[in-house]
Amino acid sequence: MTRKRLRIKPQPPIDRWAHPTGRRPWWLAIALAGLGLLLAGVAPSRVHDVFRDGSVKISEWRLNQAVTVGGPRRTEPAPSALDQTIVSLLNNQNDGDAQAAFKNDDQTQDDFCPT
Amino acid sequence: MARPMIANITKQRRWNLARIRPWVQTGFLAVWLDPLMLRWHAVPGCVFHCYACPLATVACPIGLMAQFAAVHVIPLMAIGVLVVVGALVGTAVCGWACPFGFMQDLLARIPTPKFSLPSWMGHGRYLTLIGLVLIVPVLLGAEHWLFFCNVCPAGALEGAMGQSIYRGQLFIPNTIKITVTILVLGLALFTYRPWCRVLCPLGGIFALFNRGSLLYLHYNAGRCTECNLCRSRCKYDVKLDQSINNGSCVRCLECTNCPAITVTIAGREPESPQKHLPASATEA
Repeated sequence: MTRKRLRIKPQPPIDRWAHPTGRRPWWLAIALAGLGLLLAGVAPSRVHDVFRDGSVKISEWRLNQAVTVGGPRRTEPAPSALDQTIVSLLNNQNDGDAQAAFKNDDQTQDDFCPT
Repeated sequence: MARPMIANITKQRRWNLARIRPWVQTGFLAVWLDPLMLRWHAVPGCVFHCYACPLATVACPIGLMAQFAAVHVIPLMAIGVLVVVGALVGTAVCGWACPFGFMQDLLARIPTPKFSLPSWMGHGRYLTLIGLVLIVPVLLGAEHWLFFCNVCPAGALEGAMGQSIYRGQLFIPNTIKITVTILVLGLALFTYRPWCRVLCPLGGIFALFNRGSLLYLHYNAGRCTECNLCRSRCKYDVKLDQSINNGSCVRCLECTNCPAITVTIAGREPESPQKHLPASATEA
């Protein structure tokens, strides 16, 4: 006695993340988490030490500007002295030298806006 | 009987969003190239565009991440921007907004024989991200020759080459990145988007969000006739009937020429298999 085999067309696996009916709104949770990170980054309380002793602090906003404008790949606009100071720290220069140069430079002091 | 009906459906749906993609990419290029001279370099962008370019509007998020890694700071702003954009559109940023991807698309239009890349090479993006963007800056600093910005082809093309020509030093000290650029642009003539698919750390980050993003591609198995139209349209060798929101996809939407594939947003009801069939098809 022979048994007739059923031919079943193979179905693609269900994409459980991008569910067709949108019942799993992962995107919303991820987007809110990203928004939280973004807001935490721009928050005034988020500051970074320019010098290791904590005598000069800058916001993340300002640090973004410093590493892009004052970094080794800069072109325009011209970096301020603070940008260059931060970049000198990026380049592992001596903290003391950079700090002294920072304190002796009036333009840097004018440019520096305490957070 | 079924074949001619499917041909009719395909003909009806021939126009799709992918046809306006070059124009959208050109529009975004105008945004990244700072027509208003805004220079918001403190703002992390969401595309691969070097801030060393004199015309860059916003900062490159990968450059920021690498520079922050060198000073041992977590770049919350840059990560936040990438997570938000990734959650909304996934790799559609790569396909529709990235200027470096656009340039590779333009090079791919030159009629040369194209070869495909094996899908496992996509893991190279994470090696670049973890190795050159995170580990090298943290351990060796921003001056090391393997620091990501020192090998980045977008940086070479938009920043270093212009500066080198201006200073009369074409290759030194940018030898490595200019060599990488020449290799990537040369490869882009013979395969689609080699940088994006094999090495781009930003593409790797956005690929992580593809499966769960607000915008996604929907494959309707009920409408598939196994005509292979979608796979023949896809330049990135994505297995559209098995994992359509794969990380290899840049969401160019060429596959939406196939009636079984639609682009939609989460929360919207997918279209019924019978909804767009012509009357003759539903009668049969």
